Amino acid sequence: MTVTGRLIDEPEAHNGIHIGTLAVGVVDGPNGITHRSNGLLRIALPMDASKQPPHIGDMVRLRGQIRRFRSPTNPGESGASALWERRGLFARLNASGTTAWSVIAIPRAPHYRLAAAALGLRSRTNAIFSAHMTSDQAGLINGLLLGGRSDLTGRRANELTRAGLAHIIAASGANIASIIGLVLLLLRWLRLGDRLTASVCILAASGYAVAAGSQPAVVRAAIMASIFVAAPLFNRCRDGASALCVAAIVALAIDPANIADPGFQLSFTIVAGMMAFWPSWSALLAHVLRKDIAASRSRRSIDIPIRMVLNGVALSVIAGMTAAPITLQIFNSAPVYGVWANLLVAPAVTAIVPIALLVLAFSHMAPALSGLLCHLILAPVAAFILNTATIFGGEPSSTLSTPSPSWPVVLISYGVLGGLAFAARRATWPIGR
Amino acid sequence: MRTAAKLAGFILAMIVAVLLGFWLASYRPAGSGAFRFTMLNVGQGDASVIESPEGHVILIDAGPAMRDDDTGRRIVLPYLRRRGFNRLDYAVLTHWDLDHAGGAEAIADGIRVGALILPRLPYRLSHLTTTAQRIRSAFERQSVPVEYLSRGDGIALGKQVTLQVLSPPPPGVGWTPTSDNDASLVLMVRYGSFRLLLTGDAEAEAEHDIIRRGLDVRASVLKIGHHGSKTSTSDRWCHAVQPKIALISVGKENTYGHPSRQVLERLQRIGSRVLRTDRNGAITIESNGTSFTVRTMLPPYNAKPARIVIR
Repeated sequence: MTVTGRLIDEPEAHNGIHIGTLAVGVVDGPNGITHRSNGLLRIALPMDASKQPPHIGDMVRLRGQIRRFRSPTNPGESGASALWERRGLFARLNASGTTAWSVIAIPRAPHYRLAAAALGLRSRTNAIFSAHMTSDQAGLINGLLLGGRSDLTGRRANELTRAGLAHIIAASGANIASIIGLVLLLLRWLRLGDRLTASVCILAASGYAVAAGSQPAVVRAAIMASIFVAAPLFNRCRDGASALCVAAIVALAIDPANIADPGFQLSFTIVAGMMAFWPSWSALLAHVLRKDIAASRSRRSIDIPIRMVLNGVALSVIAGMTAAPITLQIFNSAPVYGVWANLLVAPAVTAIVPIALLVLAFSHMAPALSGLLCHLILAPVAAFILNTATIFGGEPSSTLSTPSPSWPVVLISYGVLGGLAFAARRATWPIGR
Repeated sequence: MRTAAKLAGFILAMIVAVLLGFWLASYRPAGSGAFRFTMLNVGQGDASVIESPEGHVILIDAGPAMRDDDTGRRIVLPYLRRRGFNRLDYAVLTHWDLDHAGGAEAIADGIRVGALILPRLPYRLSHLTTTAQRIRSAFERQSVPVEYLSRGDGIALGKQVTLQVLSPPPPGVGWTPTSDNDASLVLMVRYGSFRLLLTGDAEAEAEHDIIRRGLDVRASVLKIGHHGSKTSTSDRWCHAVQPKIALISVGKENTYGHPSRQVLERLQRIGSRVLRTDRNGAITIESNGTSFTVRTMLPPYNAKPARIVIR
């Protein structure tokens, strides 16, 4: 059977094979009849040194046999079939040899050109960082900036996961906040009007979401940031819960299959957890610190570091607590030292994104300055984060294996967490006022 | 003062909630109460897990790791995590072939191991390849003690399960293996009347040596040696073991032609039911010491396990 269609994702190279997803356009059946089709197929194309590798948006023609995904063959294995069926993919087609596939020279649609440009940007940024630091450090900085672990070695990525630091290489709210912060700073300095400033911020957030691969977490963050920036222009208050709901609706409207994506689930539950627990926490903390300061003026100088450390711990605990039911369900393991590892790297991560953006901005205008920033700040900070991950995630005992809780247990856990948040809000309400 | 107490209570409640959640999620009784053996489907290679009724766990071989596909990381470690294990009592590598030991590096890095068990090899086979050295270094990095076993040694897994080493013989005593395969650890696992014979890649010469020594090799379940190669599982061996169930760990459409037709015919002649990981997926055997059940991931025993009474 010969199938012609467009690649809708960037193929991954694995074991001498390009693996990607094809939106089928035309099928030439074995009886010589040509059918139009609109299904999706997971395809495998054997690598051929004489051919250019296929890319997202390419029109590919290949010959092979369509087969269903294999069922899981080991206990507890999620299986390719379940994973892909959730995303509307029910079969695979392996090209029967290196000569059984070809890329047809047809221009890509604009949105594929945009995605290809984002991938190109990613490799260019990695090249800029790699010129001044080791490949692992450059991969980490690129991951911090644009999300994803594709630029890191498997061992480094595993250590980050086991230390509970995998979230730092998932582009999300913190990155969007840094970018909007920088843009706001620049536009305030230029004294532009509110409407123009808001529009530029929304454009920057959207552009960043595209550059970071439009993953659910970054799309969520971009939508929420846009709502926050635009709200005052429409005389609306900035309400986190409403923004989160709108972001969920938009992300699911773009791709309903997102609901099964662990990144989507974790992103929304963690943000919801922050919204539920943070007001109670900050009200209590403010009250206690105020009281202490009133009691002793000498304590004022240590107010800020105490606040930072306590907030860091609280942030890690809240994020860990709200993510735990899903992470345990999907990954069967929990990082033992996650809170401490996060506490150590959180300040470094916050500082690194704006500096990495400055390095990119100066890479053409002032390469020497860009190199200096890399050598003096980015490389040592990246080394610090990677070493922290090795210390907290390099040991076999750094993760706790857990049996997978069932989905009803996960839902009950969120019910309990909701109750806990409600109780905390009630207990701290008078203080918050 | 009341507010400070509330803050302390709030922080404490959150930390207790997190710890309680982790504890509840990771809680498992000290054992499932039954002996369980799972032969994982790792393609053309071997990886099996033995769980004692008291909760002790042994990994026998760690699956193949070739090119960029490491089944230790992709299949074995996730399986152990899914079963909720944070520690292996022992990791046994029957021999150093990459289809058995390749995944062990991921195991050393991914889970705590009580001890690494290796065959005590004669001098001429004791030189390790670069990959084998890398794997052993991975265990050394984690300060895992290494124990070398040969015939006459044994491992007690709690009070009820024992593993007796049938081969290789101690160096310098009787027959000397001439190949890595023949120097594989051959283990007889006993739990009550249930017996399980694990053969690594031992070939006919090793089988004959075990029979010649007069060792009792009768077993309810036999893991067929060397993935069903015609160089293993001789006629004499089949008749000596008399397994009710024969398990073959083999890759789908492998280029070696495993399992061989001759081996399958030998097993058929003695009335053994053959289960293969390429066709039946992972195979799990549970025993209470007097009977055992067989469950496969794919048909025939995926929906309803087969129950076999040991006479």
